[in-house]
Amino acid sequence: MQVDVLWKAGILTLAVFVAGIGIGVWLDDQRVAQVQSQLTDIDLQWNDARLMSLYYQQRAAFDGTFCTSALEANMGFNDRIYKQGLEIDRFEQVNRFAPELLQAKKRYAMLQLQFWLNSIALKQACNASYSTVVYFYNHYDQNIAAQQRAQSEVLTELKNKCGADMLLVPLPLDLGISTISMIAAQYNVTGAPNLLVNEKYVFNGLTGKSTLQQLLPCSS
Amino acid sequence: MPQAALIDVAYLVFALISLYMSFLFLLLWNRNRSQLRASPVSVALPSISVLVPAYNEERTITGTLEALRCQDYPKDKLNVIVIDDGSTDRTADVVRQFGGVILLKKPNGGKASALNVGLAAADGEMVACVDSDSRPAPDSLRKIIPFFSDPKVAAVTTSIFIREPKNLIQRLQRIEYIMIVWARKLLEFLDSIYVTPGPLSVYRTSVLRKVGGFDEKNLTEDIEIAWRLMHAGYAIKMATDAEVDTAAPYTFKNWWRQRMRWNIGGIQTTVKYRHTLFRRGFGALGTFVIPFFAASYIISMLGLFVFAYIIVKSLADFVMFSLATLGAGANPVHAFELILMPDVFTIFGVLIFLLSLVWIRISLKAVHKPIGGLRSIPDLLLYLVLYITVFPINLFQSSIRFITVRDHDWTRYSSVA
Repeated sequence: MQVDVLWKAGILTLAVFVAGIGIGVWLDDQRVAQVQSQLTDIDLQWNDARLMSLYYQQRAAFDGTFCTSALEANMGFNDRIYKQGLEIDRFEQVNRFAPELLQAKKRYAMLQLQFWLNSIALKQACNASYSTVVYFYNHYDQNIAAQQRAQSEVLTELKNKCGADMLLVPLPLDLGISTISMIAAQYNVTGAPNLLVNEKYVFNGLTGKSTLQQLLPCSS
Repeated sequence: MPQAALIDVAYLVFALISLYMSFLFLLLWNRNRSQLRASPVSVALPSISVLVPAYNEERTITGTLEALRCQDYPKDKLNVIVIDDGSTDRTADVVRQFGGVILLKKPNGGKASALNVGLAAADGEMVACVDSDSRPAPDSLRKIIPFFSDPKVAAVTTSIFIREPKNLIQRLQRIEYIMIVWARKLLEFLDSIYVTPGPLSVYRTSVLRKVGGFDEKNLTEDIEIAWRLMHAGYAIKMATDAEVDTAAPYTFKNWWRQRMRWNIGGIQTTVKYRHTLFRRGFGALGTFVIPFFAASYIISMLGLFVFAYIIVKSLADFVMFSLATLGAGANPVHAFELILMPDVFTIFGVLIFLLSLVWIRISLKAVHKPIGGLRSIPDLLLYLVLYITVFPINLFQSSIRFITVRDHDWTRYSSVA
């Protein structure tokens, strides 16, 4: 009986298995690094936009030139972090070994939060007419996954229809970001999915397209 | 442990065992490829009693008896005994038309009991068991005998191929049998040939009687006798160049029944010999054969569990999402995107698939049996993607049947085409 072949096969298997796990970890790390790098870029872009606002605020000169470029930059920023969010979601589905993606998710949520607060300020300062839709969701709760995905689908369709007239801000309720928890408590947001439209209207549970369309007049 | 993590662990265990099996066989082949068709030095030809158990085989037994009549073996050293196991058709009449064939009749009791009746009546030094739908090649007996030059060898088995496949299910079985030939010969180098299949296997008569003949309660008497011989310290070899062709189930239903019988018989035999697990004194039976069976069972069930979970969960998620989205007035159709990003599971999945392709390629080349060139590629893909994935479902049902049914009746799993 060629017993040594049993051992050799075992060693070869272990070597290949460990190499496979190693490559898997490396791929996960690459994805995390890519996301972190892109978030840093967005962070810089965001700081740049914020500094511009501060400058004009100091000069008390929110003129038309400022508003046009600020609103355009704000919308571009929204598109960029929205796409980043989709990419993080895709990576989360395939990453097995890199928990650091959670940190990226938190950074992303904080950027969304800053974007939302800036959008409110810009809306007032520049008398803009766009609507803001804050979408509160749970990252961890799999029991409401179907409802949340359905809500995302509704909001995506509305966003595609409304374009620049609607700003979409997804915020996770369960990632331990205290500002989000505080805001949710203030608006009596108790669960997910949950919507806050124009900082005024709160919808608990899955909200249909027709209900939202009544509040979101879209020109496009 | 969360569900997703459990699935991940199950998949990694599945990958680990699959990789081990693949590398084991590839290493065995790499070391022993020059020995695959080697044959020991010829010895004097012993007398052989050929036992042909038959139950309602009027359509096929003629071919078997003609093939035995054409054996290139001294006629004075060969006798053929057909044991009619209570056939209700014209099997006995067909046999009587052949001269020089001994016909024994008995009440229906299953193949093992028929073989035991034949064994009691056999007077050859060797006993060859041949299924009544199999046709040994004319030189098969001559090619088998040299392997008995080693006194420790109690049984020798052969290369079994499917005869003239007529439809897809038979073509898939043809591929399967070719791969089994290659794998079984490689197991010989681990002293672990775990079955002496019914189409054609030859035994030392004295040893077969010494160990008590065939187990009449076992659905796979060919697996059980092989394990019994190993348990008693004997060796089993394979004469690769000795060929026999056999009929394969023609319908999916018959194929399914046949595989249930094999699986239940395999489980019966594993349970019967479980006391040898990892214990010395029983040769490779406890140190390799039973762990090999157990590992195969584990991979099958793990694979089935993971696959079923993924399919059922995906379907459930899809239904729930679609209902929720439609209820909310949106369109669910474009919501699904294929995520084509490599991860550790993709790596192992691709590796195992590639190793399977290598395995198929090597076995087809090693066994020298053409299967139709480029035209066989769809069959090969179906074999890899569909045929193999059905086995675990059959094994699962067999496991349930094994646990819930008290007495297993051979005829319930009869796969007569």
